[in-house]
Amino acid sequence: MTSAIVASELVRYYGDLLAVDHVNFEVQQGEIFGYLGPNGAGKTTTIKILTGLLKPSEGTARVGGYDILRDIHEIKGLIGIVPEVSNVYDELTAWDNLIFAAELYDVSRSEREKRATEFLGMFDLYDRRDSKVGGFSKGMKRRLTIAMALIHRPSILFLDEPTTGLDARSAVFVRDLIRSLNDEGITVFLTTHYIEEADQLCDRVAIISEGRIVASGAPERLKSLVLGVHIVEVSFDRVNGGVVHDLEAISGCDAVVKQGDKFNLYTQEPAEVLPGLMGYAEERALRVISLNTLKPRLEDVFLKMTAPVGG
Amino acid sequence: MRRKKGLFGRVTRELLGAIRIAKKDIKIYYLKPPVIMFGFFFPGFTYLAFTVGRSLEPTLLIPGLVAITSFFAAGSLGPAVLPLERKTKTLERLLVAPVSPFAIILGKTLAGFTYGFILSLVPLLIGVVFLGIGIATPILFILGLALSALTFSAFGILFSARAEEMPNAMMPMNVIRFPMLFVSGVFVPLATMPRYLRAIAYLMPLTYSVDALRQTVLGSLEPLMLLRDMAALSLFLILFLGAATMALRRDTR
Ligand SMILES: Nc1ncnc2c1ncn2[C@@H]1O[C@H](COP(=O)(O)OP(=O)(O)O)[C@@H](O)[C@H]1O
Ligand SMILES: [Mg+2]
Repeated sequence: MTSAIVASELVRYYGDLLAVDHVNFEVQQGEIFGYLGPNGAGKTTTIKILTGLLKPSEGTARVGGYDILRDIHEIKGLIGIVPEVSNVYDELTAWDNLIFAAELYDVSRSEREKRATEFLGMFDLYDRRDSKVGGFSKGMKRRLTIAMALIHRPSILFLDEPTTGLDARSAVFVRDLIRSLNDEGITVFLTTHYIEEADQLCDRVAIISEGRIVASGAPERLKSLVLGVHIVEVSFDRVNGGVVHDLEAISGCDAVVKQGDKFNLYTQEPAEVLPGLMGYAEERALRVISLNTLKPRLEDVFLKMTAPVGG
Repeated sequence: MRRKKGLFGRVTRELLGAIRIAKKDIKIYYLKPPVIMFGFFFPGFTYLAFTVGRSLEPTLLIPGLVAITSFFAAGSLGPAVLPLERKTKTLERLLVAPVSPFAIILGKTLAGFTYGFILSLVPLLIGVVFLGIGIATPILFILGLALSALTFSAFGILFSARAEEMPNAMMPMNVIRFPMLFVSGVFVPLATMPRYLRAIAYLMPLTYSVDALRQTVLGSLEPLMLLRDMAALSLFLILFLGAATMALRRDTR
């Protein structure tokens, strides 16, 4: 099976500004790949290069098995693009927007109308199909933009910050939609600066900062790779002095931090710490009020990896 | 996506793409104020201003009026369409779709052409119905008008192909459009112009359009001259389309 996207040593300058700096990554067919980075990191520039809107200054990439420099015309029919800005035609109705998008991709007349109807339903826009899009909310325009990107049934979908600026409900709708599209087999390449979004949605993530990829892998692996630790969070009905010291003595526990009425036990092996912790509580007649294992957050990885040198 | 193979398939696909883009532009932009203003009122008023008190023969007046109407109307679509599409990023939608930059330029040119062609039928009908002029060779006249409207539309598209804002396209275009109006022989016969002005006139597409339309209305056909007019207009058309396509390609550099 060929990879859906392979970026090889991509470089892009804007004048003197180096926006993308020798970027390499590979996206497997059928996965959701997250391209995570702060504003100005080079996410949009990378998407533009992969979709033929910009030429790389150096390097190349393959999308759907085709080279972006040689066969961009072949690639165009395979991909759907949801840009950062919802670029719908405000003066046209939702229906006309969808039909035009289908026409641009040479979808046959009978299919055009069938799919437009299907997508309007799926995106909860059917009742507004004859309204001009200019009056739509941000969330509705976003949904229509996604529908327009799907109308030719692409096998690879690019989304540039799909939920940025949306209200919570629309954002949830969009995330659920991305998941269900992926379930149907569509490969998804999405950029985001929301760490939670990358964590929840993506099979694999690449973290980009100042044009360079600073870490990549499955979110879970990234977290453990960088931090290598888990956190057991516990609270008791009473707090005695010296608890921190006692907890630190539990086998497998590396460090303890008191946070409010909770204690965070840092460990490489949560399974080893737990029996010791329960034994300690019993021995001291403490009742455990709450017990959680906290995962290290992708945010910790992100902050660590994208922090300025020395910061 | 359906894919037709071979050169014929490719040409059909590009043409179809262009026509669909034109259809969409017609739907969106025909009612935009600058398009209406420059396309409709403007040529009418300018023409009136310059012919009042002058007694041009209707058979010279009407073809001239038809030419400048198509000149202003067809050329006004580009500045109204392209900068806005660039600003709202809908141009990116076209650029990432499987249609070539040439098809995009051609589509926009066709939208301006349709507008210019239809609007210039207004002065033509006025001439025929109220002034009683006849058109000696109607088929050649329509052909000349169509070629003129296409060329003028491509002229407007070329001026807008890199613009981010409408005034950035409209202003430089008008700087050229107005002098063109005066040296093209619409108001002042070329024969009475000083030599250097005449030389400039022959660098302007409007000159050939006016000449072609007058010849076909009057019926005083000089086949060679008409052929020269058509050839010159076609050359300008190819030049404008090619330059505009190259300008649009710079978007994806
Ligand atoms: N057209 C452009 N001209 C000049 N600089 C640009 C242009 N587009 C983006 N940049 C710069 O390139 C860098 C990366 O931008 P971008 O890819 O848009 O980042 P992101 O999408 O991650 O926010 C930024 O420093 C940005 O200012
Ligand atoms: Mg961006």
